Parts: sequence; C-alpha cells; structure tokens
Amino acid sequence: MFTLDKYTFDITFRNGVEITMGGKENDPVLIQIFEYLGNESTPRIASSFNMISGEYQTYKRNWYGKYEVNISKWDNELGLVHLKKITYDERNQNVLFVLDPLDDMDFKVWSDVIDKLYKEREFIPTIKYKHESFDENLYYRIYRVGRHSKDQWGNQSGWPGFIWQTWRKFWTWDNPRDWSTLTPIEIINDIVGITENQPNGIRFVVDPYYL
Amino acid sequence: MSSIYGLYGAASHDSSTSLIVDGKIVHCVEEERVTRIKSGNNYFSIPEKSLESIEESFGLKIEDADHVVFSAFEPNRFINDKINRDYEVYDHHHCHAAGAYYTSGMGGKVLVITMDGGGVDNAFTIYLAEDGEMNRVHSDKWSSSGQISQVWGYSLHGIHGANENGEFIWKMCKDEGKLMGMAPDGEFDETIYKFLKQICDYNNLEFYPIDTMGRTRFVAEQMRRNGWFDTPQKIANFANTLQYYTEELFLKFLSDVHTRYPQYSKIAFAGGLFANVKLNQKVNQLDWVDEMYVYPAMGDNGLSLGAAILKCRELGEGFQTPQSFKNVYFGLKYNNGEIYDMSKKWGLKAKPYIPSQIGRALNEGQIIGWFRDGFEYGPRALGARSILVRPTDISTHKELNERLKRYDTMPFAPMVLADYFDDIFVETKSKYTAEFMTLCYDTKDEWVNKIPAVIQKSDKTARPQIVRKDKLPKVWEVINEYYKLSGIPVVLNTSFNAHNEPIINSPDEAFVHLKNGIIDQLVIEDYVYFR
Repeated sequence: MFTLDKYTFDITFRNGVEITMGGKENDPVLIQIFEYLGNESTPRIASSFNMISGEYQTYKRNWYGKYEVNISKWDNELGLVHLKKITYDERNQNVLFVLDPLDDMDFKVWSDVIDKLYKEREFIPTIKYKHESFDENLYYRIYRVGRHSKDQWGNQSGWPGFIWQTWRKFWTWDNPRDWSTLTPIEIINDIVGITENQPNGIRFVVDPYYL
Repeated sequence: MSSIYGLYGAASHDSSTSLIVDGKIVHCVEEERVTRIKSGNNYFSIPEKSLESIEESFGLKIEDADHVVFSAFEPNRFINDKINRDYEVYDHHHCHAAGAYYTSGMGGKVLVITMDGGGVDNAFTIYLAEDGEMNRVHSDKWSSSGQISQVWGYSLHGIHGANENGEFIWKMCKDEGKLMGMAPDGEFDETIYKFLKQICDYNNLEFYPIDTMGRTRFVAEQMRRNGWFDTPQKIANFANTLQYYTEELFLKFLSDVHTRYPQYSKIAFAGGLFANVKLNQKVNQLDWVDEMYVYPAMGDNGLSLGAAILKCRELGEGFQTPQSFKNVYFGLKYNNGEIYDMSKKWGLKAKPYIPSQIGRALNEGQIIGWFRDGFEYGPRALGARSILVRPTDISTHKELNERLKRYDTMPFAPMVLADYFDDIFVETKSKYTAEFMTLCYDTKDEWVNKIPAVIQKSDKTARPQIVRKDKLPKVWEVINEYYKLSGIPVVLNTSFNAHNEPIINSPDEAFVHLKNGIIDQLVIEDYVYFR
C-alpha cells in the first residue's frame, strides 16, 4: 500500500492487476493499465477506468502480462496530471505455480518449463498442487496451470472472447486458448507468456459464439 | 458474372448489407433503416434484418449467392445461426479505402486516406492509388496510438453525462453532428485547448498517447463536474475549441502526408471522421488540393459495400478503375401498387404528382415530404427520403424543428440546381463530392439573406447538395419549378425523420408523418398524398 496525493492505493499483480483505493477525498482518478507485448517499446492499452476512494477494481488474468499501471488526477487549471506509474517486475519476487496436472507427464512438462523460466526471469518459484492450501499474500504473482473450466472467478464479462480496445482475443481469463486443442507444453506456455511473447508469437484467436 | 453479398457488423454500430450482381450495385441497406433503431442507440447490432430485407427485395438468399464477404470483424454467432456457408473477410480499413477510391471517379494519382475511432488493427491508413490499384503505404497501430475521432465520441458522453437509467444523454456515433453544429456559436478557449492536447496530440504521422478513450472519458467527466458544460454557451465554446483542435491536428497530418507524397493532389476519404463537414471544407480550401471526395457512406455503414467492391474487383467483374455514383439510392424501393395499398389504412387523399403544383406549394411555404426510389446509402437525405421547404424564411428553422420535434442546433442544408452553384458559393472545387452533401462552402454575401434558412448565421457557410438534371431529374425538376416562381434555385432539404428515429424507409413511415401533421403534403413516386 502507498499514499499518493490525497489517496491511498493497494496495487497487486497477484492475479493480473487488482487495485484498492482509499482516502478521504471523493475526487476520482484515472487508472490506465498498459501491457507491453514482446519487445515492443510502446505499450498497448489493456483497460482504463475512473476510480474513487473506497473502490476495488480488477483486471484479472491468470496468464502473464507485463503490466504498467498509470494513475492520474484532475486539476481544473492544469487538466490531466500524472501521479504515478507502477510497473510489473517479478525479478526477485515470489511467484507461485499452482498445478492441476492430469498425469505425471503434465507435471514433468510443466516443471521443466518452470525450471527454465525462473532462471531467465529471475523470480523465486514455488510449486504447489491445486489441492494444497496456501496464503496468496505471500506471492507477487500466481499462475494456475491446468485445464480450467470457464467462469473460474464466476465473473464472465460481456466480452469474454474479445476485449474492446485491445488487440487480443482470448478464450477465457484462465486459458488464453481452448486447452482441448493443446499439448501440455502449449498450455503452460500460453499461461506464462512464452507463446505470445515469442518473436512471431501467436495472437490468440477465438471463436466467441455471441459475436 | 456473379452475385456478391457484402456485410458488416460484428455486434457493433452501423451494421449494413450490400449486394452487387454482375458488377452492378443492387442494394445497400443500413441495419438502422429496417430495425428503426438509430445506430447510435445500438452498439451491438448485426446485419440480420438488412440482409433479410435485401433477400426479400431481390429474391436471392445468401446461401445461394456466389460469394459472401465481410468487413472485419465477422459476426460469428450470426454466421453460425444464419449463414452456414463459406465466406471471406477483408480488413476494416481496406474496405473503407475501397469504398472511397472505387466510387471517387478520380483518375491519375490519388491519395486515399481513412480515419476513424478504430477498426481491428488501425485507426488510420494512407494509400497511394493510381489506375485502379491501391497500395497501403502507412497506417497506425490502433492498440498503441491516439485517435481524434474518439475525442469527439467520448466527449459527448461527458458533456451531459447519463440519465437515471445509466444511458448517456448524448451518444457516440450519433450526436457528433450536434456538437459540430454548435461550434460556430462558441468561442475558442485556450484552457480547453490545453485539455484536448493532453488527451491526444500529433507529430509526424503519429497520434499520441494511447488510450484516447480512457483519457477523454475522464477529462470530459471532470470538466462536467467542474462546471465546464453548465450552459449551452459553454458547450458551444467547447465545440468551437474541439473543432479548431481537430482541424489543426488533421491539417498538420495532411500536410505531412503531402510532404511525403507531393505528386498527389487528389484525395479520397472514408472513415467516421469525415462526417465532419467543416473539417472537409478546410481540406477543400487547401491550395495544393485539386479535388477531394468523401465516400457518401463514410462511416462504418459504408464497409459492406467496400467489401463487396473488393470482391467484385478480385473477380474482374467491375470497379477495376474508379467509378462515379449517379446517385446513392440503393435502399429498398416500393412500387405504386404497394404504396397505394399501404395508404388505404391512413384515410388520406391522393392525386397525380404534377411538378408545377409542388413548386407552387413550396413557394407558398408548405412543408413537402419527398419519397422516391430506394432510400439513400449513408447518413444524408439526398432526395429519396427528404423534406423540402422554401429556404427564404428565417423562421423555417424553428417551425421545422418544432414539427419534427428535433432540438438540433445544426442548420438545415440546401439543395441547389447545379447551374447556379457557382453563383451562390465561394470556393467551388470538388463538386462531385458536393452531390452527396459532405462539404461545407462559404456563401457569397449577396445570397446570405436570400436563403437564410439554410445558411449558418455565425459563419455564413452551408452544406449544399448539388442537384444535376442528368443524375437526379425528378429532384431537379421540382426545384426548377420552385425557381421559376421564386427566382431562388435552392430548396431547403432535411432528412425525412422525426427526432431520434432513423431516416424513414417505407411509405407507411411517411404516411404517419403526414397524418400527424409533420408535413403538409407527401410526394411518393407518381402521386401526392394529403390529409
């Protein structure tokens, strides 16, 4: 948690982006969530919204994104005033992988990926099985690797297959692509961001029924 | 030769369907005309009813057509439920560009520029075109750039906010024209200009920063909370400044394009930004612009025809080089028998249409409903679904708005006999575009007081439709009859619709307005109806 101007903010990247705002004032702020893709130097806008004190907002994603949260306020003479930028940075942070393997092969493939990933991205990995309990607050980021049914958070948005204003179509907030068509290594690569952040990464495409 | 259905609308605004058969445009129908829900009141439409209406009118089911093409995105649910056949998809902005270039009639080197709030990957594109070939040379990446159109759209939401049901009172893709119409009555404000430049600025073919939507929504809402929109005059000041800002940024952009491609002096435009007729006027006034053209269905409503044109070209069946429209009457038409059958239930009288009688009625100040042919493609009424009035009375604006229950601040627009256009307006380039009412012109001083009902008082501009005898003979004829009596080769033309409804489609919708006293007489094809 930190204090900024007349507000307090608690911003975590544990399950994507989660923001809690406090403070005594009622003036709203503008929250913009950007995402950097691959080696692009200009980020893409993932979501933006107004927040006021007492609110909690999320941009929940089970899969990797290099996020940046911008906070701005309004000044009636100066206009839009930028207050702070918070960037996702998992280096030297505790990152939890909650695995839900079907069999030993799943576990082996996924463990191998995690073993390689933490060395490259310099985070501190922990692996647990889905049935194990854990304290979420101990972790900077949590990835739930498995074949998830839809509506994991029971929070299906109006656009579960396509987010307005972003470049990406995806299957659910848990798995970017339909896992029934994927191999074990493809499932984890999607979730930890390897697939999309390759030089010619797949831009996830789905076929949402309601569009 | 083949039949090609073109469609657009993946749960978005401005869905439409078009049909080209044997290289000829048969129908273009916007969804709102058949559902009777204004596009700006429905951001989730699919081209279902527009398709059904063309299938019924032309007698060709989509499954029997030779080709089906969409402008991205394709509406998957609609496809699964309704279409069940192969189809192709073309890029959104490529369809905008095709609609503009291949209907421009322009030979030689042509710049084709599209710009809107965003379509799939881009918000603007630049093409170099010549001898029927278009090559894209530049585009932005929508997900990481700013967009002028979104400043307009999302400002609207902020100006009046939302009602108790959470619906915005002024809406994106619907009320931009209202705001633009207020601009001449406002004053430039340096502080507002600063706010707008914070939202989106421009440099070297790049609009920045990203997230115009989020920034505009926040800024507009805070401005409203802090009293910046408390009075109509304050809103007019905002409109004036926004118009200035738009012209400044876009003209800088255009100047940069011209610097890169100086051999190109003809420009074809498409995309929602070019519904801004004042901006278009500024472009037309540039010395280096020989001619400009704005695709009549400049918004997303024009994408279905753009897609069909691309397929038609691929097959070598038409539009190999740019064509000109004779008119844009591609909507649904009704024959005299159908019209008569519909009229019976309204208890109205009818007599044969005689142009001189209607000319006299116009001269006497009557308000005439004018219904001919298929309805227009695009947002303007151009003599197929129009209301005609004499332009000589300043009080007409108020009376017409009261009858139509419209509270718009935009002035009404003139239809002008082609031979007199140069007498009345100052800068007279790009007359083909002016046949579709997409440009403003300055009015010569001696005409301002002769036709006050169609001139914007504060800046003496008008948005005329040039009426040529060879292209619109019936419309030309009735204006000419009025001219013979009045000496004024101009009539006031406004769209045939009441407040908050789309321009009418069927005779029934016209009869309602006659019955309710909105119009005094109604010309439909070969008959005049009256109470």
